[in-house]
Amino acid sequence: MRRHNTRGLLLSLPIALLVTISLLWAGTAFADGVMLRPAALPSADRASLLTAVTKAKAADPAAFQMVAKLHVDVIELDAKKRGRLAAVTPALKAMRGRALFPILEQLALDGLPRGDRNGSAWLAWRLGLLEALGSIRDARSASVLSAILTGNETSYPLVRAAAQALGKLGSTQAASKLITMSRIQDKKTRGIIAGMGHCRRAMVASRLAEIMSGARSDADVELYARALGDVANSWAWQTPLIAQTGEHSPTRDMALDALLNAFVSQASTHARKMIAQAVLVVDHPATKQRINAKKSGRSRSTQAALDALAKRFDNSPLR
Amino acid sequence: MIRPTWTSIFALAAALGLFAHGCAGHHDAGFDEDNNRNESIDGIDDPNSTGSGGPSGSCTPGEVISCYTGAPETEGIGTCVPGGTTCLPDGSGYGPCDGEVLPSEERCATPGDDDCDGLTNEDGPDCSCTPGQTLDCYSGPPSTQNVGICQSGSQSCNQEGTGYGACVGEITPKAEDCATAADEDCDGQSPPCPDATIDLRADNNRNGTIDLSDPTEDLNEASWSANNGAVFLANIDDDQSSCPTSGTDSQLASCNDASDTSINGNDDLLDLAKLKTAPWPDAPNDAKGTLTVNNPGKTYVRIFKKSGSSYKEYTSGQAVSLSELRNGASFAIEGKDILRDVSKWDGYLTVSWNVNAGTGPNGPIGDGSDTVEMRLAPVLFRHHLHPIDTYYVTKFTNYSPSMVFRQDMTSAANAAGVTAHDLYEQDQWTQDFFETAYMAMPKSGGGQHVIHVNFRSANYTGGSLRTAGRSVFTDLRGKDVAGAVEYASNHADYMDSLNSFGNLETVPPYSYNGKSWPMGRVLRGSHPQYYPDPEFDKMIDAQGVQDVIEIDTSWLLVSHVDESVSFVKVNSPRGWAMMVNDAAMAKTMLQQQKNNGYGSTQMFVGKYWSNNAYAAVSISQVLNDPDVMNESAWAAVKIDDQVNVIKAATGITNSEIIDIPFLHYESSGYSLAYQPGTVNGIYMADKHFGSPDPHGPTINGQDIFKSQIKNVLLPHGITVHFIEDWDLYHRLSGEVHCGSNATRKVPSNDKWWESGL
Repeated sequence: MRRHNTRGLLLSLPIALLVTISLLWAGTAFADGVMLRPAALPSADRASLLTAVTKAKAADPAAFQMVAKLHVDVIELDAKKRGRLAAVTPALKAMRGRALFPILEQLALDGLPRGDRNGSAWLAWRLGLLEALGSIRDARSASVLSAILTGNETSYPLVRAAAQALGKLGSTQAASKLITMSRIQDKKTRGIIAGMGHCRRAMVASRLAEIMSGARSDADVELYARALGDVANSWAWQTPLIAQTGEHSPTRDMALDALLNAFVSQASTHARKMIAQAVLVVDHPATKQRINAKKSGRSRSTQAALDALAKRFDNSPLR
Repeated sequence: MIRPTWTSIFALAAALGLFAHGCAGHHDAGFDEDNNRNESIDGIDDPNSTGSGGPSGSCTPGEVISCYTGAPETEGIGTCVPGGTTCLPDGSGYGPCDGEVLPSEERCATPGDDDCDGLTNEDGPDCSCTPGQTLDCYSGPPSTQNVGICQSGSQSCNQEGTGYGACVGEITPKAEDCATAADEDCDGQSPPCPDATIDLRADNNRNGTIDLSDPTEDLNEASWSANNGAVFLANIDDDQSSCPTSGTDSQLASCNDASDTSINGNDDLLDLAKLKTAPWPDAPNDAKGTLTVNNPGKTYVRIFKKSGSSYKEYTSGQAVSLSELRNGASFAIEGKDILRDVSKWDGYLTVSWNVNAGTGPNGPIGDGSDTVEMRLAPVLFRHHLHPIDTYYVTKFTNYSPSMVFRQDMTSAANAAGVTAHDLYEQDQWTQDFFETAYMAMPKSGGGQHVIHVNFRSANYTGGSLRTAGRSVFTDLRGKDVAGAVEYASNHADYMDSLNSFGNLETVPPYSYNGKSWPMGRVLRGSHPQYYPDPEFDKMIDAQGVQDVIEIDTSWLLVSHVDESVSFVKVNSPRGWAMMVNDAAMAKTMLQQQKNNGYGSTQMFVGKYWSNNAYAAVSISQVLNDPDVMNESAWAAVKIDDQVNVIKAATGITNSEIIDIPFLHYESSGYSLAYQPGTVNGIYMADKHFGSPDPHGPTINGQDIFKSQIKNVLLPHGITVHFIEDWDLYHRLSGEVHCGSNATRKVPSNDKWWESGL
């Protein structure tokens, strides 16, 4: 019979009390995160996040202030933006790991209010938070990102950014989550697919290959080719962080095959152009060989298109 | 000719005993003095006559026999016919010869042969000619007979011989017709028509003047071509700066020198193309001249007629005064607007001078008309082979990033010899909210008369146009400087970034595949699902000179062509080269430095983001950043596609491409220049390029990216001036080019009308 360790229990009481108080506080004093209500997080995750945020805030208040400043700045950044949206991501990304808890706080615990930020400013702010979080690649963000994807947010760019951020964690859990969600046909599906290419795992490449085989339109092909290009991106795989996964070959092999299969099955010029771009981004050393293998039994026009692709590969802008 | 009377004939016949059948008794009875019928010619009609002319001797009473008392050779000839005589009741003889017709005096008044000599109307007291006889005849003045078209006719004697019939076939003098070569009035001369001078002159030979005596001004004037044809401008500048600088967008846009019906001073008059009619001093009083223009161009132009020393609006088809017809009339023409939609009007205008010539001293003078074809000058977007005249930046007073930026711009501009024009708008994207262009027509002396055209951007979002674009009307418009705007209010807001003019560059002039683009071609970012305002592009197409080349910029956050390409003048057969962002080169350069042991060397040193986050990052950190590497690889491929499109359109080769290295990163799902994008600078003049300061890693005292761009442009004689734009532009997704603009000089010898387009 197992005996309770009274001492341990006693020691844990204050902590439990603190957590309980914190959770109560979270449910009352804390506002919602900009992407998630705190209650949407599993309680343990919420508690640990709250604790971590509290600690971080104490340890590096300047980091929180920098995020808060950017929240203020985003109004001006949006007003002065050149292009579709204000670029919030680089300012947050430049903070590197210091931005982790300030961002998580914004996303899931106590996001600064929208105030008078217009639609594009508010979207830029939330996208920036998600993209910067993804760039940090810290596993402690998994719970929040997973909850965001499971939640009610269906906006394509936000779902894409969240899926991308989760995928960048590179974990099997993250990959599985994305694959599972990619099988659900709803408003989030395309955002999930668009982001999951940043999860550079063989299982993701396999799922993306499967998705590509079912492409029904140029828009589908463009989206899926981009994801396959991301998952097998030659330059990304040259970075130590990605290379260390050890799934270099299967991931890139599957992606290349999926792209070349799509290239011969998709007749539209635009679709082939998008696929060709992805093939170049993958920059797989076996590309020429596999292109030649695809020529057998193909129509003249397809063979000519494959030849052109091979020629383009020879002159790849990546090399 | 003796024409015997019947009395005498009878007397003679009686005396000669010619009446063999008792005609003597008849004769006796006929001259019965009691009957007193001497007025009768021969008494044969006398019913009381005893018929002394009938057969004598016994006969069967009542018997009727033929009788004829005239000369036997006349019986049955002409009108002479025998009669009948009846045997008397007592059988003693025959009575008078009834019904005979004896010869009478020949008379032309009667149709027959009266004297029964076998000839009709051959003679007689009232006869004048012989029937059938013909004579030459001519009723015109004798001096004109058989001169010119005049000729004799003939007339025939009528059957009665009483005279001649009408003169047939004669041609007598008519009024002289100057339109024919014939001598209609038969005076021995065939003068041409009096000169009805019908000659309309425009600047067909494109020397900037109207030359009435120069035949090249007339040559092929009815058809505009690369070789000839007059040009006119859309007179949409504001020479007297009389347009308001406040008001609604539409009020600002609608005011210009063509919006009224007056010519606003001498400067305004210079903006109009002139037309003249040649003098016709001898124009008859009833002659009339009108100037007309064809449809649909008529709607888009305004004509003025010179009256005294001023010009007044003239309505097409209105008659000029006789004095103007005689002395020559002067006109001036303006386009009311630039070309916007070629389906409504292609810019070609047919102008006709129509003369109803009236009647001269020698009769009517031939009418006629003279036609010239003119063309509205297209609006041309500027390319980098034209040196900058003035550059523009938005000035933010007392804002340090703006001051730093402007200071560096000034240094570059001073070196290039160009002047600045500060704009005071709350919009720092000076490249985006307006675009400079120009129109030109021939100028006296061989140059070009230019109206600069500043387009307000078609940025229309949330129901309104971009505010700073108003500056084309409120600040820049003036003498020979126009403002214009073209946009579609229903174009989707999410595509609006494409309407900023960082997304409009001009590929310099080139020829390729047998076709020439002497004024270059517009380059725009466009994608089937993400494209600029179609109305604006339609307007570009309507100019017919700089057809748009489209490249895909949809993958870029800002989506502008100036983020990846630019053009510089070089000494090569083409005359220009294309600077292109090359992410692979940037990666390679950084990798080389890392391999050389400089992996820890930082770039972006001393630079901060708006939240005060320090931007500095080491070479190794950059190369090890999967996100930067991922996005940079995509950028390399996407830009390669852009280049391939431009290659296909222009024939430019790799040897004519100048690689400019910088990486990309992802923001909001799209791509942005990671370093300040050094391709995105301002080409000040042939020898000066203003580049963003790349803030690259400094190794051995040299910023490797600064060195690179300096080294690649140096062989072309181009000095690079580095301009600090991190705070003002780079961290807001833009660079030097985005924050500047330029009006470029229009070389006098670079004439669009000689382009053949």
